[in-house]
Amino acid sequence: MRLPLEWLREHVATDLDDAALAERLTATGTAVERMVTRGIPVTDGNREAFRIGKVLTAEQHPEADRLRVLSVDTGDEVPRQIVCGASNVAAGQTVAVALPGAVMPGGQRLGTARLRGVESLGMVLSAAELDLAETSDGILVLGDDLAAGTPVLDVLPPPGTVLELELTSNRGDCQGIYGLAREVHAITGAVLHDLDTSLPPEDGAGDVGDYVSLRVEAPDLCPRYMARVLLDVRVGPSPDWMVRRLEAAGMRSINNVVDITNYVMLLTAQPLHAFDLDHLAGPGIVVRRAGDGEPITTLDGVHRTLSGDHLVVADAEKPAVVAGIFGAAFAEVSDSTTRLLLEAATFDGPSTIRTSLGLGLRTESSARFEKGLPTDLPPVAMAIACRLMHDLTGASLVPGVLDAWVTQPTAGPLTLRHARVGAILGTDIAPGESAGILERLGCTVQPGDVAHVVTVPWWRAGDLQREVDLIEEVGRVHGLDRIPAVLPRVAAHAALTPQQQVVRRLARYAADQGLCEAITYRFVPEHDADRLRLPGDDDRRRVVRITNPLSDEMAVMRRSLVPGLLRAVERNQAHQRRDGGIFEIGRTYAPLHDGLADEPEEFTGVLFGAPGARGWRQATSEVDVWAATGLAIALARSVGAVAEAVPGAHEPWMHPVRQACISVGGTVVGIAGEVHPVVLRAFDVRGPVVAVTLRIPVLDQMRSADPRRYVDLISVPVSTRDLAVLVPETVSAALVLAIAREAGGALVQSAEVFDHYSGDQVPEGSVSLALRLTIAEPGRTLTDEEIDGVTERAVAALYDRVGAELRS
Amino acid sequence: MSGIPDLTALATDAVAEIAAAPDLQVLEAARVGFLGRRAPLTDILGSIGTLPPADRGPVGKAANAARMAIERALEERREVLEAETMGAALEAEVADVTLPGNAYPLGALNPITQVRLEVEDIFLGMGYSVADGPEVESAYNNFTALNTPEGHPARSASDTFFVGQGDSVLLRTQTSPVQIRTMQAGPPPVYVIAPGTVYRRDDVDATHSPMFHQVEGLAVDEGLTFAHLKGTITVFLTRLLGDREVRVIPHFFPFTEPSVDVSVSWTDRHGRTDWLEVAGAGMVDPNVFTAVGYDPERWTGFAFGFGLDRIAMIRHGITDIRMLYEGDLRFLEQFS
Repeated sequence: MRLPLEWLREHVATDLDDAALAERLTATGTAVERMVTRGIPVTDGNREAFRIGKVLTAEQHPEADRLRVLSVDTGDEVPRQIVCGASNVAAGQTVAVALPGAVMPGGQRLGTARLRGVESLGMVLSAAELDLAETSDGILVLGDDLAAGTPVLDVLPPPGTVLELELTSNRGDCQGIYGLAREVHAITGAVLHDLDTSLPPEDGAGDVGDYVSLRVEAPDLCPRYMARVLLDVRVGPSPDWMVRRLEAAGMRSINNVVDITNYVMLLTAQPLHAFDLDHLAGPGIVVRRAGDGEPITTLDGVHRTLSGDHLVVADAEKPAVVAGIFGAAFAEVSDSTTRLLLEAATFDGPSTIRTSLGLGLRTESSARFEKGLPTDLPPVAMAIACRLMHDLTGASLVPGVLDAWVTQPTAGPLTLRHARVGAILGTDIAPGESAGILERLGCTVQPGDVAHVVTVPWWRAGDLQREVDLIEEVGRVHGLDRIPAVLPRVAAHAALTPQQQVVRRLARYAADQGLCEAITYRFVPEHDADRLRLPGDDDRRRVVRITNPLSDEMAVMRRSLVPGLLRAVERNQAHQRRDGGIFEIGRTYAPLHDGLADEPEEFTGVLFGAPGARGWRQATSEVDVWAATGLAIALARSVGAVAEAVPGAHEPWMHPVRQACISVGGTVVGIAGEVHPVVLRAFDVRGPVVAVTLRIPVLDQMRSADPRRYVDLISVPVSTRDLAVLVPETVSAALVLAIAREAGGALVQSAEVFDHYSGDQVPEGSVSLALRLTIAEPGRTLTDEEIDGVTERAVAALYDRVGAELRS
Repeated sequence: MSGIPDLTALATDAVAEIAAAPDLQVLEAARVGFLGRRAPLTDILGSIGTLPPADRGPVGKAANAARMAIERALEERREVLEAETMGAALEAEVADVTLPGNAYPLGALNPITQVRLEVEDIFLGMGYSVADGPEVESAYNNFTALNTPEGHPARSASDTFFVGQGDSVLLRTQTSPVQIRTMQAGPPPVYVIAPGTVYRRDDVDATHSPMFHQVEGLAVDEGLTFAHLKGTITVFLTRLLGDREVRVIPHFFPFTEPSVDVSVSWTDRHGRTDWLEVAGAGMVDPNVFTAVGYDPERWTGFAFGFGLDRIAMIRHGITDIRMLYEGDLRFLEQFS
């Protein structure tokens, strides 16, 4: 909303300057987005420096064909010499002159100049230089009755400051200049002038009913419809003052009739529509829902198709206007119009929004209806418009008005308890002050010791309906900046939940291992499921589908974090990044029967190339399945879960035999392995790429809740025994360790693989595993026999169970 | 005193010679020369028993004093020479310390996460729990219970992503429904923040993302006022963004009243200071309390919300919101 302050000041006599007024408006909730000032800046210096001048002589410049050397009387004792380049300058003219020191509308300060060797002690101004017009041809020639030396600021229209306001959706009343004048009155106490809403003489022939009838078929969408008829209209240009105000408010002048409807809308917030009565097919107009498929050609020449959702004002044959939004071409006012039907109506806000969105048409008028306008407003706007039609177009007003008004029961007065004001705002506001604020807002207040009884004016009835609405008004006008800032005494206990702690720890640990955290879009293309090679019956093909996605690439909610991260790898590889690690922690979305979704959190990390800490004497190696399992187990360990990698994983998006389940106590908490080359190709990613996925709720469940017990392996000797065994390559290291552990019994504190070898030195189909057993019993020193017994039992069990042979 | 050598002179000479020994070999030779088996002093000490009894005492005493002086001189000189030798050896182990040290991994959390963790910690310190709710949410919780009527533009398919048939389920457009869920879950007092991902149907450009992040805060208790809202938000913003001015100006939100926009003073890199809008806040509207079964006469409260993306961008000078969502390591690694 653009607010020309010159117009505002006609209605409210504030003595605040433009900047102070803007600040006060912002501080009380009418946000000023921008302040634009046109014209000569009003300063004491500029009163002196911009003067009316009389051109005494105009001589040809000796050195330049296009320049004239003037002698100009600017009210000083001697005329001043000014060089001027305008072709229309001539002796005898009355002009506006800027003297050295003048601050021009753009902000630059004028100095003395020397043009082709001739000194110039000022500048003769054009309309554009005075900021009175966008462009101008030559200097501005003024009337001869102006005396030389008169300040230009006293003569030309005052400079216009326009505030660009961002109105909140509850303040439909501020969509007009007069509503803003009321607001300025409320927040500054400045005197508000009444609007003149008296009708011009009703001197037109007959009665309104002789010309037109009215039927409102959709009163739910049009609670009030008023119409009047005006005769003897002379369509022509509008006066300058009206054109200037329309332009300052951001509208274009069309002709006097249309301009009056727009001018009154800008003033009162009430949109008006003028029809050429002679183009309406009689006998009457109907406010009705459009028929499905009913056509209309709007003013902009576009043929549109309406539906039953759209409200129209129609003549006997066809829609003459999409109600509250845009008129039809055929009924529009033209130069030949002499008889008008003038509409002032209240159209339903939500319905206007729907129609406006549906047709892709938003106008100054529809924007005002959207926020909801009161049904008391049409008569006000109608009267002002009729007065202007009479004054500016010579129209005669036909007696009588068509008025279909579904009156709403008026709400009773509100009670404002003084104690409640303090309980909400946290500061004591004296009852006298709250009463004063509400009265300035137009309320009627019956003061009381405990509470005021408050009657709200019709123009605020839409948004002041409860006690708390009044408290807000009192607070904002009193000044929220004056309310102290106090910390509450919080008697609550707060801590992160265990799962929140798991998420934090995993993120921190992954970052500490050199991975960076990505956040990828959670809506993904549906064919990600195909790219992941998911079979047709895979549960992950059931997705939460977005009804109105921005694109097919954002059509469904993800079931896996893997595709998003592979896309991130692809982008990194696209700019020559060969190695790296990226992880994400976030939700996946599995649809539920009630239409909502199960949204478990997942950790996924991907490593590509040969990532890791690399230096001038440190090498890194390309990732493989063990890079993934190692990371997975370390991540689990970081949150207190002892995990192992076990075979049995069958993810279709992973390498068929280079993937492992990450298991904690027999429960699968995740998966780790190499990403399938076909999947990599589908995502345009170069391998090797490995991935780790952990299901956070499951991992959280499987963490050991008990604090870890101390085991005394410090005060007793701890022995290690190394064994090298040959086992068939089909036997997993996990099984070998499990057998060794089980056979060794409780004395085995740990069993680890520290070397793995297959190749020339071992028979085909076998691998050599080097195991290290750590053997001890807390609190007791073992004998050599006991220690040897452990290894012997392990060797025997390995031979019996998997045919392992001891290597010497 | 005939036959008895001048032990004082012997010691003085020896000490002088030892002190002048240029290296450890010469020093060892000197030791052998002065204290070895064939050294004159050794002879004297060995022959004390042959002296007349009256001489034994004085000669023995003088000889021992001489030996101790020589030993002390040897030890002192050895320490000096050894230190010199080691120093020289260490000097030879020259290394360019400006070469990179061993590399240790250091990744990074996304700037959004970093801000979120700080926000959580500030509010945990003020006694707030951290809550969350589903992103696939009912229109009731996202709009209706938050006093946003049917027909409001935010509820249209041009602003909000809907899910499934009809318009009853959507991708939440704000973290505010967590307020409703929290209040439905139990009685006051409530002190909770809800960071989370939200969705609006904006086309992607430098300042818009259809998916972004918010933090919602809600406090409900007896006796909470707008002054407490101001205090809480001021402490929070100054902890997060440093010591700056905080300004509230009246605004409108459907689910709070009074409502405010919260700005902080901010000086950009060109030195211009301006107000930067960072949050919306207000006193919880009584209708919201009624919708969740809280008595609005007994309980009052405040709510606030702000964008994590926006704060991360302001704080780090990030000018394109898309960078936060691309997983570009050139970007992310700057925040380790």
